[in-house]
Amino acid sequence: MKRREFLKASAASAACFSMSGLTLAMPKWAEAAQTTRSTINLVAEVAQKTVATAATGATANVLVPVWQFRDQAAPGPGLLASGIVGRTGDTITISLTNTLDRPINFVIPGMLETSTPVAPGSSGTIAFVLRAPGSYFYTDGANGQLGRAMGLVGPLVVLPQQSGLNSLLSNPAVAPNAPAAPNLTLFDQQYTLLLHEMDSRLNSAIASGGTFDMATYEPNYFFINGLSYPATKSDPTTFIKMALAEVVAIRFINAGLIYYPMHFHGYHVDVVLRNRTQEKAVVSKDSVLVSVGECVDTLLEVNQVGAYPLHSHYMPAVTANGVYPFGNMLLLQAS
Amino acid sequence: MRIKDEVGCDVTEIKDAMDLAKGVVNSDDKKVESPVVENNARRHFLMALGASASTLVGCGDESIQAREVKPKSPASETATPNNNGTTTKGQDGSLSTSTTLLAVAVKTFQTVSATNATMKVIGGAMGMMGAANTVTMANGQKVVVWGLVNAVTNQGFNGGATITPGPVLEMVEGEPVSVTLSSMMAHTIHWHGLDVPTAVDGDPDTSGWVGNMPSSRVDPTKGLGSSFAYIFTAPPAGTYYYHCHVDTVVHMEMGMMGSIVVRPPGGESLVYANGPAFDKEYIWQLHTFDSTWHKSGHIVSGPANVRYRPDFFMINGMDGGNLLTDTTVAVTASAGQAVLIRLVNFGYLTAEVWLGGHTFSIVASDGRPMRKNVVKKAAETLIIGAGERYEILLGPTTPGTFAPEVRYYNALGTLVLGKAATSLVVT
Repeated sequence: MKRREFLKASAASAACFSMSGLTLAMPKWAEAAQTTRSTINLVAEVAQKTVATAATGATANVLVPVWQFRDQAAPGPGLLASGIVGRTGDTITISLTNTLDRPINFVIPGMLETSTPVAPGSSGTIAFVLRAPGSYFYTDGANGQLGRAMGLVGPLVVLPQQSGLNSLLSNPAVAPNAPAAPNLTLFDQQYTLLLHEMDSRLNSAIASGGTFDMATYEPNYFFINGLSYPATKSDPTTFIKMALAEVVAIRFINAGLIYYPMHFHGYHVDVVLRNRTQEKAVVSKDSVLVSVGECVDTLLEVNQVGAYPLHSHYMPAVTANGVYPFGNMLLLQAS
Repeated sequence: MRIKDEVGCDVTEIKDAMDLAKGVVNSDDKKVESPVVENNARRHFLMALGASASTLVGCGDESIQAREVKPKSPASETATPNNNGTTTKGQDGSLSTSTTLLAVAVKTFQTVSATNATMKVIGGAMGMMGAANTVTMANGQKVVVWGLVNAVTNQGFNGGATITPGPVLEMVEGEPVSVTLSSMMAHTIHWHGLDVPTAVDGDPDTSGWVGNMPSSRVDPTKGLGSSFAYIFTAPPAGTYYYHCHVDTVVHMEMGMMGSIVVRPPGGESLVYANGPAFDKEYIWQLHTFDSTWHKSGHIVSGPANVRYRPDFFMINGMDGGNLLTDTTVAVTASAGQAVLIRLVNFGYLTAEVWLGGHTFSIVASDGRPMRKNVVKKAAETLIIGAGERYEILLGPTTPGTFAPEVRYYNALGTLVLGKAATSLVVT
């Protein structure tokens, strides 16, 4: 039985999960918390981000001043200082402390479009109910695109309401659109890949109290979960390790300001959700265009072993300050 | 499913085409200079070789239908595969190795069989210093390029002397592929979308390498050794591409890539097995040049290349007015014909394709059928991201003169940086 068919059969009864030894596949970065949390303390702060690049062949690190949301209790994937996982219907309360030099708020495109700004040096509380399953990001919505450009972003993964269901959607037995290509939503493990980038000229200007014309935004550093390749290879939440016949959910969250056309070497993936809406037309892709602000949830059925890159095909994003190969690239390894 | 028989073959055309084909299949050692094979002759010949209607299945979309073809003469020729790495218009491996031939459409671009091909690099880092290989743009500006070319003929796309894009490699789904790359410098071939084994994937970050490539930061001036054979099995029918994956951001910009067309077994005029049929076939390869990157000081990725600001906007390696006349780009068709355009975005930017008011259907992408064909109305466009491929079908074509264009967006998707405009004439 193919793995996918097995998963489908298992889903028919919740009891099958315990009998077959399957357990809830949380994103690895959220496993430490074990369960979803209803109250999350976020601190918006300035940080210094280390980015590897190379000059005349030798690797060298540079420091970029950034803004970040930090969650003392549990960091997010990669170098991201926070991340949220919950279930459809959960009420989440964010206690936001703003240590930055200007008011910010907390928004989730597609779920929470605005909230009351929090003044510098003070705290505020934002409560909301998690809606449709799928991937989201949160950011500041009070300063135009500046929050996203400075790195004030984090991933939000909403799981189906049913406990123990490893599915992108609440109903895993979605009627297949075509018998030959059942649009299943079940998986064995999941990864969250938050994509963003920075124009270090902007970061420097803002950090020194200046301003930056967003019309001149041309990024030179590119990140997956805050990591620039090859740092993505040494982070277990971003280096995707898979087993033959597994189905792996890979969630792309474009929290940046540029397009990310993500190309898989070695595999095609099913594009299941775009901004939480089920994709009806496309069966299987090796290049997945993730538009600005878009979240795309995919399933990869591991049909061969090997090691393969996954990277943006906007090739300038696979650099750090112009040097290849850095930036938006990670490795997949299947054994 | 509805099946139509709308094929009317002219007997004279069939005979001419069959004579031509005999010449083709009897000449397996040298490139065949075939006479110009015009639309109907070649199409009708191959229809005459024939297919049974039972091998054609409609795809469920009423706008796209399989075409029934009645055999008009037995398929008596047994062809041999083309092993010399060259193919002229009208000759290809899939035809010659199949016994259940379907109608074959007019192909507006030449291909090279990947059954046993050899390729080499022209240009490359050292080439910059020597005799320059240039592309002359429509405004007269010369841009230095590198290329992956057919090692037998030194030709690039469509048998031309221009080295980028490279030749279109043709494969047959499920059949063996062998492509040998010769290079004295660090270059590879990555098979974009073909999901090949790691060892032949062509990215030095994972695939291993030949010669002096000690780390992921490959020095593109170090030697690759003499040659490397990429041997694998052709993937599902569809459109793919190949490109060098060493210092990729520079080597692709310099032009080291070309397209791949994978045919379904025995079905050269089907997008995929049991999929939609077409009468005429185009390939539009989309990319851009930032001409400042093609100058000295930019041949190894670094701070000089930190920002990508393209100034040339191309289809099939051409820009400007050339796009209105080039027969691989400008579309001509008879009303009612089904025209397939294979869109390959091997540039860096997101592109938007508009057919100037002609409707089309998206039938496949990234080498896989669409789950549901998407019909685009006259005013609608298709967004194609870097690395993506889409097969779009204009069918049946409606009479008129249209002005299709490809709009290239900046990385933010906020601005059209430039356009490639061509023509579509249906009479």
